Amino acid sequence: MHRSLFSRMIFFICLGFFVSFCGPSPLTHHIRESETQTKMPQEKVSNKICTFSVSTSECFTIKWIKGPKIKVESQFLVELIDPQTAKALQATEVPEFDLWMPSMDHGSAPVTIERASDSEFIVSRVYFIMRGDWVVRLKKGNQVISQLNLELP
Amino acid sequence: MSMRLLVVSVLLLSFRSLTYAASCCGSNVSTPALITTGETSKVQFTYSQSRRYFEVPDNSLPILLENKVDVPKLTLKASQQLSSELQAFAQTGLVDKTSSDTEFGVGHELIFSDTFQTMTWLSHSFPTGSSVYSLKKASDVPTGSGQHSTFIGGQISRIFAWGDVGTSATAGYSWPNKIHNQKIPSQSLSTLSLGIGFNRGPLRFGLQQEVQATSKSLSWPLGLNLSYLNQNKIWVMSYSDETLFGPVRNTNLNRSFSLSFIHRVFK
Repeated sequence: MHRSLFSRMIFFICLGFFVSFCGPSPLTHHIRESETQTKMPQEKVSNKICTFSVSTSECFTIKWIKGPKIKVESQFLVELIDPQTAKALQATEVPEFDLWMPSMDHGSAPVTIERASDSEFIVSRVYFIMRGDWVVRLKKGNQVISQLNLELP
Repeated sequence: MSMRLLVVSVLLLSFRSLTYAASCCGSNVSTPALITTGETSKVQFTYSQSRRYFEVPDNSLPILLENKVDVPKLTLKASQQLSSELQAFAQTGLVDKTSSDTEFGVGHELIFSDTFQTMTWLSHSFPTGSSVYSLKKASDVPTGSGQHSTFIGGQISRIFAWGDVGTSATAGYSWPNKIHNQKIPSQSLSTLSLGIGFNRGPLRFGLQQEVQATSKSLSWPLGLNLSYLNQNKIWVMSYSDETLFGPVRNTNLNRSFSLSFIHRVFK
C-alpha cells in the first residue's frame, strides 16, 4: 500500500514539475549589468516633478542632490508645494518620507530629514537597495499624502 | 546498517538544503534539523559561501551582475528527541558577522520503516536578523526578513538498496509587521522539492531540484551534495545553483557552496 501510494505521489509531483519547469534559463535569457547603466532613472531626467496621488492640499517636488542610484546613498532636496496656488508651502512640521518597493512589498531603512528653509528639506540616507520600481512617499502617520514613482535600472 | 543511516541522515539535509530566501532579503528558513536515525540529539554546523550572479527585477529579464556579491554564512542547527515520534529543533546563523533570523520548531515522524520515511514539521521563524529596514549602508546585505514567519512542511522518501528518492514540501506565511511606521504586508511562501540519492559505502551523492515561490518571486534551485558518514559524524559538501532554470521572477539568483558537519549523540 505504501509503495503504491508513494509511486503515485512521486509520479504526479514529477509531472507537475516537468509541466511548469519550462521557462527560459537565466543563463541564456538575460541582459548584462553594463547594458542597464545606459538607462537613466525614469524620473531623474526631469528632476522636478510634482505628483498628486490623492485629494490633498500638499504635494512635493524633488531635486536630486545625489543619485537616485542603487546600492549607494542617494540624497534629495524636497520642496512642499500648495497644489492650489503652485507656490511653496510653509511647513510648520517636518514632513515624513519613506521608500517603498511595490513589486516586492518591502521598504528600506528610515531616511534622515533636515530642514533647509521654510518649505525645503534635505532628505539623506536614501537607500535604494536594489533595482526596480521604487516609490518615494510623503506620509502623515499611516496615510500616504503624495508619492513619486521611480524606475531604477 | 551504516548505509541506511547515511541515507536517512542526509535525506533531510538534501531536501531544502538550499536556503529559502525572501526575494530581496536574508534567508527566512532552511532545512529543519530533524532527527532521522535514532540519535537522541544532533548538532550541525554549516558554513556556506553564496555569490549573487543575477538580479531579477519585476517585469525584466535577469540582469547578469558584473560586480558579484559574496555572502558568507555560518549556521548552527540543533535538535533533540522529545519522544519516540516527537522532536524539537532550532537554528540560527551569522551572515557577514550579523545574526540571521532564528527558527524553532517541532517535528513528527509518521512512518519510519526500513524502506519508507515520512516526517512532518511545524516551525516559527523570529526576525532576529537585520532586515532592509535596519541597514546601516545602502550596500549592506539584509540578513533577515523583518517578519515573523510560520512554516508547515512534510517529507516522504523511499529507501532502496542503491539509494533513495523522495519529495518534500513546505508552506509558509509571513505575518504582517510594522517597522519605523512602515506597514509590511503578509506574504505566502512555498517550496517543493524532488530528490534522488545514490550511495556507495560511507558515501552518498544526492541531486535535488526545488521550486521556491512567494507571492512575489519564483526560482528553481538545483542542488548537488556529497556526504561521508564516519560513525556518529557526517560531513556534507553541497553546491546549489539558482541560475540554471527558469522561469524566474522578482528575485536574486545565487550559486553557493557549503560544508556541513553533523555530530550525532546517542544515549
